[in-house]
Amino acid sequence: MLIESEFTFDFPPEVVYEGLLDPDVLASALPGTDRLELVGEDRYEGEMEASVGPVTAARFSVVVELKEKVRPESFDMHVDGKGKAGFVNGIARVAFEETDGGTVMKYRADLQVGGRVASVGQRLLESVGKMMSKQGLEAVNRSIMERQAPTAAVAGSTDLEVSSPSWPPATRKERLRLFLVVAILLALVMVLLL
Amino acid sequence: MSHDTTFAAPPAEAPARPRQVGESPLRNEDRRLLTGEALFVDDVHLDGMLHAAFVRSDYAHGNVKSVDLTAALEHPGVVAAYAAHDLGDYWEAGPLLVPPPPIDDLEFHAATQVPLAKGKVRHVGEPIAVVVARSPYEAEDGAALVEVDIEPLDVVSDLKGGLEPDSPRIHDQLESNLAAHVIQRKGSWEEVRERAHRVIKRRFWYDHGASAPMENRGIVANWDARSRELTVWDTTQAPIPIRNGLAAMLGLPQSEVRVIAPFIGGGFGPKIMMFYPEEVLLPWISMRLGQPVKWIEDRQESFFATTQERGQDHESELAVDAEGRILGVRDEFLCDTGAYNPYGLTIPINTQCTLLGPYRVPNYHSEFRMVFTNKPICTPVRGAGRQHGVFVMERLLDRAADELGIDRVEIRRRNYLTPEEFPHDHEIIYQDFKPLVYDSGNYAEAMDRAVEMIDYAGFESGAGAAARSEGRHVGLGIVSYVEGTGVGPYEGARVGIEPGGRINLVTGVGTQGQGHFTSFAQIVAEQLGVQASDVEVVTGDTARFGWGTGTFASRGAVVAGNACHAAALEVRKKVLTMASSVLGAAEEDLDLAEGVVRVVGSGESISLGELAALANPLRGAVTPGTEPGLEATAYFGPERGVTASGVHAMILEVDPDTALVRILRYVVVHDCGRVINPMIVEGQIHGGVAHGIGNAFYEELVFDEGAQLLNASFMDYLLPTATDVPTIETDHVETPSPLNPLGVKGVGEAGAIPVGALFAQALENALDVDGFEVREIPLSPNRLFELMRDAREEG
Repeated sequence: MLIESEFTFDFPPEVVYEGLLDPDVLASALPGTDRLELVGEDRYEGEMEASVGPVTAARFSVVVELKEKVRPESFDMHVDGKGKAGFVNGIARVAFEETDGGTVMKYRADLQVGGRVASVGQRLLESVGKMMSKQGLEAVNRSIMERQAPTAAVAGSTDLEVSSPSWPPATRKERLRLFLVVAILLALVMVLLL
Repeated sequence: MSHDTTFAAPPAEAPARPRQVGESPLRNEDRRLLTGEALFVDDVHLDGMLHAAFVRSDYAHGNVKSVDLTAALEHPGVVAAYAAHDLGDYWEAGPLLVPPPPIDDLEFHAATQVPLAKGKVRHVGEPIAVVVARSPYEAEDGAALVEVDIEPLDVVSDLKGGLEPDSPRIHDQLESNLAAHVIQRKGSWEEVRERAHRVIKRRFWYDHGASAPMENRGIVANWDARSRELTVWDTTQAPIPIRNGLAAMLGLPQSEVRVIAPFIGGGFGPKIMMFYPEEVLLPWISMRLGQPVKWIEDRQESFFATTQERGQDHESELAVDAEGRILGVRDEFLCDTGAYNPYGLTIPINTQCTLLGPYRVPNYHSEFRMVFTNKPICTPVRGAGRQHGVFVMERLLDRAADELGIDRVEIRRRNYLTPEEFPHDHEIIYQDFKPLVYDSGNYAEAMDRAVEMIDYAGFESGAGAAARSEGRHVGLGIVSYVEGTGVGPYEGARVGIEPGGRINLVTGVGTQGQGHFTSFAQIVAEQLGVQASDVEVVTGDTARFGWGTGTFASRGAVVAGNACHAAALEVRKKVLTMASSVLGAAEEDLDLAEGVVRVVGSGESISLGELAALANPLRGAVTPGTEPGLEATAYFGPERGVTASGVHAMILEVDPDTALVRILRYVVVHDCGRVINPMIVEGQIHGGVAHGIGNAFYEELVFDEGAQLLNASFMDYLLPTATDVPTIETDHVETPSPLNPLGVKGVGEAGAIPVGALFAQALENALDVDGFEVREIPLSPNRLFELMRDAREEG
């Protein structure tokens, strides 16, 4: 299954690339992610919970590996998610392009989805996934905006807790955590987009 | 309606008997069914009964790296859990249910299903482990805790791709994914193609679907060590072969295994499949744990774990002369058997043979390749490949009619076999391993009646023209088909009269809603001079009758029906012999009616119950060489199958904007030989047509390229509802079969067979768009919209 879509951020690629990797931003934008661990270089393991139509509160363990990283232009994400409700695996290519002071993020995922998520969730996956991924990426965009102008209140972002005043993230550890959360976001997006 | 028009009446000198066969009494089984007293498998509740749940593969193809039952076994309520390696020597691939027929140069590679996947999974839903618990809920929770590690493998999801040299291989022991390659020939297609006036060539895709019975599968197994009896309640269409197989697998004598197929909410073919993994495992588990175990399939499971029937890709040619007479047909197709092929070649052989239809086809080249794919197992579903063949032939004839400017009814008439041409040998081999020889038929008469009922002659200028002048898109379709039914090998029945006068009939075939309790009772009642409601019928319990094969191939009425008839005749003979002796009158002077034997012309009489008591005395001497009681067992095995036939016609309206359809009229003229019970025959036809409408326009198993089924629920897999199935107007032509004493033919699948071809023709007639041609089934509003759009764009 091939999924192609794009999303436009209001910030240049360097900011988006780093911003996408901020765990505090992404955790709040991502429903259902409750455990993320860095288990090796560019390899993360996490758990998430998702509901798609009749498949409710399905838990997935997800392994994500980032490869072919070209900062701030692109990365490949290898996803292997498994749960009682099925599985998702495949590769997503994510690319960032500058446009009028903003960034177009294009993603193209070649995925295999199986089990109950595929067999009974199919009809709802696309609409639910599109809505949730759009909301998630919009929340990321707003969060970056808050980080860029920490004193300016941003409408509609009151549910996002801003815990770190420093931007961009200073330490390597923080940056790794950011990668991890981006990976999980995209994995969820892919699961939901199907 | 007209019944019994051709069946010979009894000789005039025979005493008149109240007729039972040919009447439509209320069904004997309906009181139990409608008042909730009928026993279904899920109604079986036993002390200490455990419940099983299966862990199934999410992957269509993969290596099973590990199966960890630890967490499941620790779950409260879980009693046991097993994976393939726990089965030891009991783990064995299932039997090849139908070996290939004797066709020259046939290539066949068997690969049958296994109880639990070992090493490899080959389709989504293949069972990997089974968890047994005190309740079904705990069993399912336990199953969710089984950790299965599967390494995904590349998947075979399409037929052509599966035969490519670089395709992933599903069965390592085989050289490729080719399951079979079969060619059947008659005459010389090559020669006739050269001299044909015209050759029509088309490619067709015909897919079938799930059987979708109201009741899914279910099994209860109970091993009682003290009485040494294994009792298995099973939603099977074949209780006796299941008993025989289980006894062999478990090392028990057949007498210690009792299989009961109680009331079953629809079979439609997949319940004749054996042995399902669950059927093999539940009895084994019950013997191991010494407790009864139940498993009831849920609806989602059913989409994977119960067999289904799927698509065929045909490349077909029809050669005709200038008058539209068929000179020959060439048909090559690929068919899908899924991950295993336990049912052998029944589906494609049915397609190959049924394609010839009611027509005279002097030259035929038919070739198919059966392909293993990583999809659930294919076995027959109502129609069993016949609709695929009918679709090809009827579509080719429609095109020939268009191209030659011949009326579509007329082109069929010109090619029908005439009543004088029977028996007609098509010179190829049928699914029962016998030559495809039609026993009898009267195809033109069925067409004439259908033409009259649907007002074919008046439609174009009358109702059709009127609707079109209002801007509506209304079309008429009319197609023919045959159905090979009533194949062997045999069935049996036992008829007995009890001292109280009660009449018992027991037969080995199981019942899934066909009305056996009534039709079989009518056959017996006719011979014993009683009412159908006086006959107590038992079916599908191996302890009551242990010989037989099962309910499939539209054979119940033909094979079991004639066994009932034979047993009833034997009992009738015993009754008259005994009454003659007791009443001191010649048998010719006796009349048996209303349960009483009377001496014609005198007041003397004796009831069947009294005779039965006398036939089983407590004291005194009996005549040496006689049997006690008024009871007889008889068997019937037909020489070969009998060929039923019919014509379906409909008027259909299409909304060109939404591509939704509405069936305005539906006519079926059917010939199943002598009709035992017109109401039941019509009911079978109605149900079949509903299945056919689903197949034509609603039902489709949608798989992605990874062989994942994407619509495994009734939210997405659409069945026709009551509002989609029109009132069906029926009529019968009765051409008795010379191959059995009752003169009957089967009718169970007939309604479903020609509906795809009928839809296609009616849609083309309704839309009348240049280039709009239906070459595939199933359709749907979406697909029909695309076909209309493509035709308009090309036009």
